[in-house]
Amino acid sequence: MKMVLKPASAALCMALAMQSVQAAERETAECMPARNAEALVLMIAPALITQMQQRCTSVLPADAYLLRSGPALVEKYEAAAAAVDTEAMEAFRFFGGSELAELKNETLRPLIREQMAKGLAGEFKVDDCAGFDLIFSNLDPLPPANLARVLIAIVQTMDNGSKTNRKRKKPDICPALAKP
Amino acid sequence: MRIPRLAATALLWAGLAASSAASAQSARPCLTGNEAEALFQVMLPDMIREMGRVCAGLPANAFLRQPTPAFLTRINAGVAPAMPAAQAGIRKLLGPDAGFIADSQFAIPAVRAIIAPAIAQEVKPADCPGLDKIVTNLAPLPPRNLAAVFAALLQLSQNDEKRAPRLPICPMGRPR
Repeated sequence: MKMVLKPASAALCMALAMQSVQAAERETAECMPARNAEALVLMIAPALITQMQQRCTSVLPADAYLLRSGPALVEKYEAAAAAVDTEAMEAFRFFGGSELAELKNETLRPLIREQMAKGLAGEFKVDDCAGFDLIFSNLDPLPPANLARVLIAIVQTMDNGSKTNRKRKKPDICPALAKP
Repeated sequence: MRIPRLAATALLWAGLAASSAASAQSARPCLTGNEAEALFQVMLPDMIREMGRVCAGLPANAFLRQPTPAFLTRINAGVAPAMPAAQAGIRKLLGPDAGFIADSQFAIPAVRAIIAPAIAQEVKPADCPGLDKIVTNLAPLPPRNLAAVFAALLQLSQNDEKRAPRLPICPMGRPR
């Protein structure tokens, strides 16, 4: 289970780590709204899927879901990412300092996508390819936005019990609240 | 950190419920991916119902408190087709001496009776809004897909030996 929670939490950790200095200086920094975190997940998803396809090519059979439906899957997530691009960039700039503010979205976007996807793909073991293939194939009917919400809700719920968050009393992503 | 433990706990209790009656064996039996999926599929309606009960503090229109009829119909319809594989899994965990229990009409109710309190123990009120969001967004999936995702997550967790709870589920091998 731990492995599968890594994509979302690691994505956000990386995003936040890149701005850790500025974040540390901002004691009053608010939490990141869930919709921005979800958008960030969608933004890096296409590059991450591509990285996983490359890593898993040597161990998965040719008819495996990840390899067979690769381009269509990437296309599906590209469309979902495009729809929430503004929110995703806001997410990345959430803890941003002045240096980040000077960079245009066009410059920042490919850097975020490639670097984060590469970093996350490095977390996966080739032994996990079969498991990921099975998970992705079973999640296929789900709209990408749903999947992003599920991943972030898992991170939010994990944050409830996080020792780190209890210590600093400040979650990375705003807690999930019951809608009235 | 309670969410990752929830599915694991459900399966662990199901496994223990079955294997505690089994005689000591040198080779510990494990559930295949298909058998674990089937057990999840059979337990899904109880898991949802119990989460709704524990999360009574959510607004009345929250999905967990008031799942859509279509969703309930779908997960209830998923129980019967999964029953043979679920019973096969229980039979395997029970071992040859007690395997006949898996075929009895009490096998599944017994597992259910153990799962409900296990969920009640794992789910804390603070987790309810997040759980509600997770279930709401996974609800469009057919129950078999949902169960397969849970089972694959657990199999993957077995790759991480240091952190993984010892579950009666076979690790997933490389496909070739």
